[in-house]
Amino acid sequence: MVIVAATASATQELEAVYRQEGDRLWRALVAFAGDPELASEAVAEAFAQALRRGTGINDLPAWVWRAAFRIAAGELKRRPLTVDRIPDRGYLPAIADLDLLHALGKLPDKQRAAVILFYYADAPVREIARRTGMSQISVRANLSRGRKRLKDLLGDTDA
Amino acid sequence: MIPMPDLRDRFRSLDRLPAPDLWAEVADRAQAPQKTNWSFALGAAAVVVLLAVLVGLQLRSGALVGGPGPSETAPPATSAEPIPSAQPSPSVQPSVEPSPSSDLPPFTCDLPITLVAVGSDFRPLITQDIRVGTHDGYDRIVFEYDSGTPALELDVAEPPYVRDPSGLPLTVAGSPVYRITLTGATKYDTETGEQPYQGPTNFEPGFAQIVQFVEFGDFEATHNWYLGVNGGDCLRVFHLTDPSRIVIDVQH
Repeated sequence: MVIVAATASATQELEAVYRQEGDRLWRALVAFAGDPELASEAVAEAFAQALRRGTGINDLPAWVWRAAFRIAAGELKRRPLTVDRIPDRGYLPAIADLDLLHALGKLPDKQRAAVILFYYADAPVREIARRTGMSQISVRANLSRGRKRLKDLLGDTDA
Repeated sequence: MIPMPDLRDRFRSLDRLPAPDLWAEVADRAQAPQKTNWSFALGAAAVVVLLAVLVGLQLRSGALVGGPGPSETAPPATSAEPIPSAQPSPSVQPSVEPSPSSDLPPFTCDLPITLVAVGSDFRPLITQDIRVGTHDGYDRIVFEYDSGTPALELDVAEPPYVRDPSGLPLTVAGSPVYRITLTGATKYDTETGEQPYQGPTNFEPGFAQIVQFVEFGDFEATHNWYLGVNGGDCLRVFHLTDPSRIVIDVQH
Protein backbone atom coordinates (compact mmCIF):
# COMPACT_ATOMS: atom_id res chain seq x y z
CA MET A 1 0.00 0.00 0.00
CA VAL A 2 1.39 3.38 -0.94
CA ILE A 3 1.29 5.54 2.11
CA VAL A 4 2.91 8.82 3.05
CA ALA A 5 5.84 7.16 4.74
CA ALA A 6 9.15 8.83 4.14
CA THR A 7 11.91 6.59 2.96
CA ALA A 8 14.86 5.96 5.22
CA SER A 9 17.16 8.14 3.14
CA ALA A 10 14.67 11.02 3.10
CA THR A 11 14.43 10.74 6.89
CA GLN A 12 18.20 10.80 7.25
CA GLU A 13 18.46 13.78 4.94
CA LEU A 14 15.85 15.63 6.95
CA GLU A 15 17.53 14.77 10.23
CA ALA A 16 20.77 16.16 8.85
CA VAL A 17 18.92 19.39 8.05
CA TYR A 18 17.49 19.37 11.56
CA ARG A 19 20.92 18.91 13.12
CA GLN A 20 22.25 21.76 11.01
CA GLU A 21 19.35 24.21 11.15
CA GLY A 22 17.12 23.16 14.04
CA ASP A 23 18.72 25.13 16.89
CA ARG A 24 19.10 28.30 14.89
CA LEU A 25 15.58 28.03 13.55
CA TRP A 26 14.27 27.51 17.08
CA ARG A 27 16.09 30.58 18.39
CA ALA A 28 14.95 32.66 15.44
CA LEU A 29 11.38 31.60 16.24
CA VAL A 30 11.80 32.49 19.91
CA ALA A 31 12.79 35.93 18.69
CA PHE A 32 9.83 35.95 16.31
CA ALA A 33 7.19 34.68 18.71
CA GLY A 34 8.69 35.58 22.08
CA ASP A 35 7.65 32.18 23.32
CA PRO A 36 9.93 29.13 23.57
CA GLU A 37 7.00 26.71 23.64
CA LEU A 38 5.50 28.14 20.50
CA ALA A 39 8.93 27.98 18.87
CA SER A 40 9.25 24.29 19.77
CA GLU A 41 5.78 23.59 18.45
CA ALA A 42 6.48 25.34 15.14
CA VAL A 43 9.87 23.66 14.63
CA ALA A 44 8.55 20.18 15.44
CA GLU A 45 5.49 20.62 13.27
CA ALA A 46 7.42 22.05 10.33
CA PHE A 47 9.89 19.17 10.33
CA ALA A 48 7.10 16.63 10.85
CA GLN A 49 5.29 18.04 7.83
CA ALA A 50 8.47 17.78 5.78
CA LEU A 51 8.93 14.19 6.97
CA ARG A 52 5.40 13.24 6.00
CA ARG A 53 5.91 14.78 2.59
CA GLY A 54 8.85 12.52 1.94
CA THR A 55 11.06 13.32 -1.00
CA GLY A 56 9.00 15.94 -2.81
CA ILE A 57 10.79 19.04 -1.48
CA ASN A 58 13.57 20.68 -3.47
CA ASP A 59 15.18 23.02 -1.00
CA LEU A 60 14.60 21.44 2.39
CA PRO A 61 16.15 24.12 4.63
CA ALA A 62 14.23 26.93 2.94
CA TRP A 63 11.00 24.90 3.00
CA VAL A 64 11.32 24.11 6.70
CA TRP A 65 12.13 27.69 7.66
CA ARG A 66 9.18 28.96 5.69
CA ALA A 67 6.81 26.35 7.10
CA ALA A 68 7.95 26.99 10.67
CA PHE A 69 7.56 30.76 10.36
CA ARG A 70 4.13 30.33 8.80
CA ILE A 71 3.05 28.00 11.58
CA ALA A 72 4.35 30.38 14.23
CA ALA A 73 2.66 33.37 12.55
CA GLY A 74 -0.59 31.42 12.40
CA GLU A 75 -0.39 30.58 16.08
CA LEU A 76 0.33 34.21 16.97
CA LYS A 77 -2.76 35.26 15.03
CA ARG A 78 -4.89 32.94 17.10
CA ARG A 79 -3.97 34.79 20.26
CA PRO A 80 -6.36 37.50 21.36
CA LEU A 81 -5.21 40.87 20.10
CA THR A 82 -5.64 42.44 23.51
CA VAL A 83 -2.83 40.32 24.92
CA ASP A 84 0.72 41.52 24.53
CA ARG A 85 2.21 39.22 21.96
CA ILE A 86 5.45 38.97 23.87
CA PRO A 87 4.78 37.29 27.20
CA ASP A 88 6.05 38.41 30.57
CA ARG A 89 9.74 38.63 31.08
CA GLY A 90 9.69 35.75 33.54
CA TYR A 91 8.61 33.52 30.70
CA LEU A 92 11.95 33.69 28.97
CA PRO A 93 15.34 32.65 30.27
CA ALA A 94 17.03 35.65 31.82
CA ILE A 95 20.06 35.13 29.63
CA ALA A 96 18.17 36.35 26.60
CA ASP A 97 18.37 39.98 25.53
CA LEU A 98 14.87 40.76 26.71
CA ASP A 99 14.91 44.37 25.54
CA LEU A 100 15.63 43.17 22.06
CA LEU A 101 12.86 40.56 22.21
CA HIS A 102 10.33 43.11 23.47
CA ALA A 103 11.31 45.59 20.80
CA LEU A 104 10.93 42.87 18.17
CA GLY A 105 7.50 42.13 19.57
CA LYS A 106 6.40 45.64 18.61
CA LEU A 107 7.19 45.09 14.93
CA PRO A 108 4.65 43.77 12.42
CA ASP A 109 5.12 40.09 11.51
CA LYS A 110 6.82 40.66 8.16
CA GLN A 111 9.24 43.26 9.46
CA ARG A 112 10.07 41.07 12.41
CA ALA A 113 10.68 38.00 10.23
CA ALA A 114 12.85 39.97 7.80
CA VAL A 115 14.95 41.55 10.53
CA ILE A 116 15.50 38.24 12.36
CA LEU A 117 16.47 36.39 9.21
CA PHE A 118 18.85 39.17 8.22
CA TYR A 119 20.55 39.83 11.55
CA TYR A 120 20.32 36.49 13.26
CA ALA A 121 20.20 33.93 10.46
CA ASP A 122 22.62 35.97 8.30
CA ALA A 123 20.42 35.38 5.30
CA PRO A 124 20.82 37.64 2.25
CA VAL A 125 17.73 39.30 0.79
CA ARG A 126 17.18 36.61 -1.83
CA GLU A 127 17.32 33.90 0.81
CA ILE A 128 14.97 35.83 3.12
CA ALA A 129 12.53 36.02 0.22
CA ARG A 130 12.70 32.26 -0.24
CA ARG A 131 12.32 31.57 3.44
CA THR A 132 9.36 33.85 3.98
CA GLY A 133 7.51 33.68 0.66
CA MET A 134 7.84 37.48 0.29
CA SER A 135 9.12 39.10 -2.88
CA GLN A 136 12.63 40.54 -2.74
CA ILE A 137 11.19 44.04 -3.01
CA SER A 138 8.93 43.33 -0.08
CA VAL A 139 11.86 41.92 1.90
CA ARG A 140 13.92 45.06 1.29
CA ALA A 141 11.06 47.31 2.33
CA ASN A 142 10.28 45.31 5.46
CA LEU A 143 13.91 45.05 6.38
CA SER A 144 14.45 48.76 6.02
CA ARG A 145 11.34 49.70 8.01
CA GLY A 146 11.95 47.02 10.62
CA ARG A 147 15.53 48.05 11.17
CA LYS A 148 14.62 51.70 11.54
CA ARG A 149 11.84 50.92 13.99
CA LEU A 150 14.05 48.59 15.99
CA LYS A 151 16.76 51.21 16.15
CA ASP A 152 14.26 53.77 17.42
CA LEU A 153 12.91 51.37 20.03
CA LEU A 154 16.32 50.33 21.29
CA GLY A 155 17.86 53.77 21.05
CA ASP A 156 20.81 52.38 19.15
CA THR A 157 23.12 54.61 17.26
CA ASP A 158 24.08 53.48 13.83
CA ALA A 159 27.69 52.43 13.93
CA MET B 1 22.67 48.16 3.11
CA ILE B 2 25.26 48.63 5.81
CA PRO B 3 24.35 46.46 8.76
CA MET B 4 24.56 47.85 12.24
CA PRO B 5 27.21 45.84 14.05
CA ASP B 6 25.62 46.77 17.33
CA LEU B 7 22.28 45.26 16.36
CA ARG B 8 23.91 42.17 14.93
CA ASP B 9 25.74 41.65 18.22
CA ARG B 10 22.52 41.91 20.12
CA PHE B 11 20.96 39.24 17.94
CA ARG B 12 23.95 37.02 18.64
CA SER B 13 22.75 36.95 22.25
CA LEU B 14 20.04 34.58 21.05
CA ASP B 15 22.72 31.93 20.74
CA ARG B 16 22.80 31.77 24.52
CA LEU B 17 19.29 30.31 24.60
CA PRO B 18 19.48 26.55 25.15
CA ALA B 19 17.58 25.00 22.25
CA PRO B 20 15.74 21.73 22.96
CA ASP B 21 16.35 18.63 20.83
CA LEU B 22 13.03 18.19 19.05
CA TRP B 23 13.93 15.40 16.64
CA ALA B 24 12.15 12.67 18.64
CA GLU B 25 9.06 14.88 18.72
CA VAL B 26 9.31 15.35 14.95
CA ALA B 27 9.31 11.59 14.37
CA ASP B 28 6.34 11.13 16.74
CA ARG B 29 4.33 13.80 15.02
CA ALA B 30 5.06 12.51 11.56
CA GLN B 31 3.48 9.20 12.53
CA ALA B 32 0.58 10.56 14.59
CA PRO B 33 -2.67 11.56 12.93
CA GLN B 34 -2.33 15.13 11.84
CA LYS B 35 -3.99 17.93 13.72
CA THR B 36 -6.47 19.93 11.72
CA ASN B 37 -5.14 23.31 12.76
CA TRP B 38 -1.81 22.63 11.20
CA SER B 39 -2.93 20.57 8.39
CA PHE B 40 -3.37 22.53 5.27
CA ALA B 41 0.12 22.10 3.93
CA LEU B 42 0.37 18.47 4.57
CA GLY B 43 -3.31 17.80 4.23
CA ALA B 44 -2.99 18.88 0.65
CA ALA B 45 -0.17 16.43 0.09
CA ALA B 46 -1.90 13.60 1.92
CA VAL B 47 -5.18 13.97 0.11
CA VAL B 48 -3.49 14.00 -3.26
CA VAL B 49 -1.97 10.66 -2.35
CA LEU B 50 -5.36 9.44 -1.09
CA LEU B 51 -6.96 10.54 -4.33
CA ALA B 52 -4.28 8.70 -6.28
CA VAL B 53 -4.91 5.57 -4.22
CA LEU B 54 -8.65 5.83 -4.77
CA VAL B 55 -8.23 6.29 -8.49
CA GLY B 56 -5.81 3.37 -8.51
CA LEU B 57 -8.33 1.18 -6.73
CA GLN B 58 -11.04 2.17 -9.13
CA LEU B 59 -8.88 1.39 -12.12
CA ARG B 60 -7.88 -1.96 -10.70
CA SER B 61 -11.46 -2.93 -9.93
CA GLY B 62 -12.55 -1.81 -13.36
CA ALA B 63 -15.20 0.35 -11.79
CA LEU B 64 -14.25 3.55 -13.51
CA VAL B 65 -16.97 4.13 -16.03
CA GLY B 66 -15.79 5.02 -19.50
CA GLY B 67 -12.59 6.88 -20.27
CA PRO B 68 -11.39 10.17 -18.90
CA GLY B 69 -14.31 12.54 -19.07
CA PRO B 70 -14.43 16.12 -20.23
CA SER B 71 -13.14 18.69 -17.80
CA GLU B 72 -16.65 19.73 -16.81
CA THR B 73 -17.38 16.25 -15.55
CA ALA B 74 -17.68 16.24 -11.80
CA PRO B 75 -15.50 13.69 -10.08
CA PRO B 76 -17.50 11.55 -7.68
CA ALA B 77 -18.00 12.95 -4.22
CA THR B 78 -16.48 10.94 -1.43
CA SER B 79 -18.29 10.25 1.80
CA ALA B 80 -17.43 8.58 5.07
CA GLU B 81 -16.82 5.38 3.16
CA PRO B 82 -15.03 6.88 0.21
CA ILE B 83 -14.25 3.81 -1.83
CA PRO B 84 -17.71 2.30 -2.30
CA SER B 85 -19.49 5.60 -2.79
CA ALA B 86 -16.80 6.84 -5.13
CA GLN B 87 -17.85 4.24 -7.65
CA PRO B 88 -20.55 5.61 -9.87
CA SER B 89 -22.86 2.61 -9.93
CA PRO B 90 -26.42 3.81 -10.46
CA SER B 91 -27.84 0.32 -10.08
CA VAL B 92 -26.78 0.25 -6.44
CA GLN B 93 -27.49 3.83 -5.47
CA PRO B 94 -31.12 4.83 -5.00
CA SER B 95 -31.85 7.02 -7.98
CA VAL B 96 -32.20 10.50 -6.58
CA GLU B 97 -30.26 12.34 -9.22
CA PRO B 98 -31.97 15.30 -10.82
CA SER B 99 -32.38 15.36 -14.54
CA PRO B 100 -29.78 17.92 -15.74
CA SER B 101 -26.73 15.72 -15.95
CA SER B 102 -26.11 12.10 -15.17
CA ASP B 103 -22.44 12.99 -14.66
CA LEU B 104 -23.18 14.47 -11.26
CA PRO B 105 -22.78 12.35 -8.17
CA PRO B 106 -25.96 11.25 -6.40
CA PHE B 107 -27.37 13.10 -3.42
CA THR B 108 -26.45 11.50 -0.16
CA CYS B 109 -27.98 11.76 3.28
CA ASP B 110 -24.96 10.16 4.92
CA LEU B 111 -22.79 12.60 6.84
CA PRO B 112 -20.09 13.70 7.10
CA ILE B 113 -19.36 14.37 3.46
CA THR B 114 -15.71 14.87 2.67
CA LEU B 115 -13.93 15.98 -0.44
CA VAL B 116 -10.23 15.76 -1.06
CA ALA B 117 -8.14 18.73 -2.15
CA VAL B 118 -7.20 18.90 -5.80
CA GLY B 119 -4.05 20.48 -7.15
CA SER B 120 -3.42 22.59 -4.09
CA ASP B 121 0.06 23.35 -2.87
CA PHE B 122 1.65 24.66 0.29
CA ARG B 123 0.19 28.05 -0.46
CA PRO B 124 -3.50 28.37 0.45
CA LEU B 125 -6.03 28.74 -2.35
CA ILE B 126 -7.59 32.16 -2.74
CA THR B 127 -11.36 32.38 -2.95
CA GLN B 128 -12.33 34.12 -6.19
CA ASP B 129 -16.10 34.04 -5.89
CA ILE B 130 -18.92 32.67 -3.75
CA ARG B 131 -22.36 32.23 -5.30
CA VAL B 132 -25.68 31.01 -4.01
CA GLY B 133 -28.50 30.13 -6.37
CA THR B 134 -31.62 28.05 -6.72
CA HIS B 135 -32.38 25.55 -9.46
CA ASP B 136 -35.07 23.09 -10.39
CA GLY B 137 -34.82 20.44 -7.68
CA TYR B 138 -31.96 21.89 -5.62
CA ASP B 139 -30.32 25.00 -4.18
CA ARG B 140 -26.66 25.45 -5.02
CA ILE B 141 -23.62 27.01 -3.38
CA VAL B 142 -20.45 27.51 -5.44
CA PHE B 143 -16.96 28.40 -4.22
CA GLU B 144 -14.57 29.40 -6.97
CA TYR B 145 -10.76 29.31 -6.56
CA ASP B 146 -7.69 30.54 -8.38
CA SER B 147 -6.26 27.05 -8.94
CA GLY B 148 -7.32 23.72 -7.52
CA THR B 149 -9.86 23.18 -4.77
CA PRO B 150 -9.39 22.82 -1.01
CA ALA B 151 -10.33 19.84 1.12
CA LEU B 152 -13.90 20.00 2.38
CA GLU B 153 -15.76 18.52 5.27
CA LEU B 154 -19.48 18.97 5.73
CA ASP B 155 -21.20 17.73 8.87
CA VAL B 156 -24.10 18.56 11.14
CA ALA B 157 -23.33 21.46 13.48
CA GLU B 158 -24.59 21.57 17.03
CA PRO B 159 -25.36 24.82 18.84
CA PRO B 160 -23.99 27.02 20.27
CA TYR B 161 -22.81 28.49 16.98
CA VAL B 162 -19.77 30.68 17.40
CA ARG B 163 -17.41 32.71 15.30
CA ASP B 164 -13.95 31.33 14.87
CA PRO B 165 -11.51 32.23 16.40
CA SER B 166 -13.18 34.95 18.49
CA GLY B 167 -15.75 32.61 20.04
CA LEU B 168 -18.41 35.31 19.72
CA PRO B 169 -21.91 33.85 19.48
CA LEU B 170 -23.70 33.68 16.17
CA THR B 171 -27.29 32.84 15.35
CA VAL B 172 -27.97 30.71 12.33
CA ALA B 173 -31.49 30.40 10.92
CA GLY B 174 -32.73 27.08 9.58
CA SER B 175 -32.69 23.49 10.73
CA PRO B 176 -30.66 21.40 10.50
CA VAL B 177 -27.52 23.52 10.45
CA TYR B 178 -24.44 22.15 8.74
CA ARG B 179 -20.86 23.15 9.25
CA ILE B 180 -18.69 23.39 6.14
CA THR B 181 -14.93 23.49 6.60
CA LEU B 182 -12.67 24.27 3.65
CA THR B 183 -9.11 23.46 4.58
CA GLY B 184 -6.37 25.20 2.63
CA ALA B 185 -8.45 28.13 1.44
CA THR B 186 -8.89 31.76 2.38
CA LYS B 187 -10.32 34.99 0.97
CA TYR B 188 -7.14 36.94 1.70
CA ASP B 189 -4.02 36.68 -0.39
CA THR B 190 -1.45 37.54 2.26
CA GLU B 191 1.35 37.70 -0.27
CA THR B 192 -0.22 40.32 -2.49
CA GLY B 193 -2.50 41.84 0.13
CA GLU B 194 -5.42 41.39 -2.24
CA GLN B 195 -8.87 40.03 -1.62
CA PRO B 196 -10.48 39.09 -4.92
CA TYR B 197 -13.82 38.19 -3.38
CA GLN B 198 -15.36 41.11 -1.54
CA GLY B 199 -18.99 40.03 -1.76
CA PRO B 200 -21.29 38.99 1.06
CA THR B 201 -20.28 36.50 3.73
CA ASN B 202 -23.83 36.10 4.95
CA PHE B 203 -26.57 34.94 2.60
CA GLU B 204 -30.21 34.73 3.57
CA PRO B 205 -31.70 34.05 0.15
CA GLY B 206 -35.07 32.67 1.18
CA PHE B 207 -34.75 29.69 -1.15
CA ALA B 208 -36.71 26.47 -0.72
CA GLN B 209 -33.85 24.85 1.19
CA ILE B 210 -31.08 27.39 1.89
CA VAL B 211 -32.31 29.57 4.74
CA GLN B 212 -28.97 31.03 5.78
CA PHE B 213 -25.38 30.54 4.66
CA VAL B 214 -22.94 32.43 6.81
CA GLU B 215 -19.17 32.52 7.22
CA PHE B 216 -17.99 31.95 10.75
CA GLY B 217 -14.26 31.88 10.27
CA ASP B 218 -11.47 32.59 7.79
CA PHE B 219 -8.04 32.25 9.34
CA GLU B 220 -5.00 30.05 9.14
CA ALA B 221 -6.09 28.88 5.71
CA THR B 222 -9.28 27.36 7.08
CA HIS B 223 -12.51 28.79 5.78
CA ASN B 224 -15.58 27.91 7.85
CA TRP B 225 -19.27 28.33 7.07
CA TYR B 226 -22.60 27.44 8.60
CA LEU B 227 -25.43 26.37 6.33
CA GLY B 228 -28.94 26.50 7.78
CA VAL B 229 -31.48 24.63 5.67
CA ASN B 230 -35.18 24.02 5.66
CA GLY B 231 -35.41 20.45 6.93
CA GLY B 232 -33.59 18.96 3.96
CA ASP B 233 -30.85 16.51 4.67
CA CYS B 234 -29.69 15.15 1.33
CA LEU B 235 -26.76 16.89 -0.30
CA ARG B 236 -24.20 16.40 -2.97
CA VAL B 237 -20.77 17.94 -3.03
CA PHE B 238 -18.35 17.83 -5.93
CA HIS B 239 -15.57 19.61 -7.79
CA LEU B 240 -15.74 21.29 -11.13
CA THR B 241 -12.70 22.43 -13.07
CA ASP B 242 -11.89 25.34 -15.33
CA PRO B 243 -12.38 27.41 -13.29
CA SER B 244 -11.79 25.40 -10.13
CA ARG B 245 -14.96 25.22 -8.12
CA ILE B 246 -16.55 23.36 -5.25
CA VAL B 247 -20.29 22.85 -5.58
CA ILE B 248 -22.67 22.08 -2.73
CA ASP B 249 -26.22 21.19 -3.73
CA VAL B 250 -29.08 20.92 -1.26
CA GLN B 251 -31.89 18.78 -2.60
CA HIS B 252 -35.40 20.22 -2.53
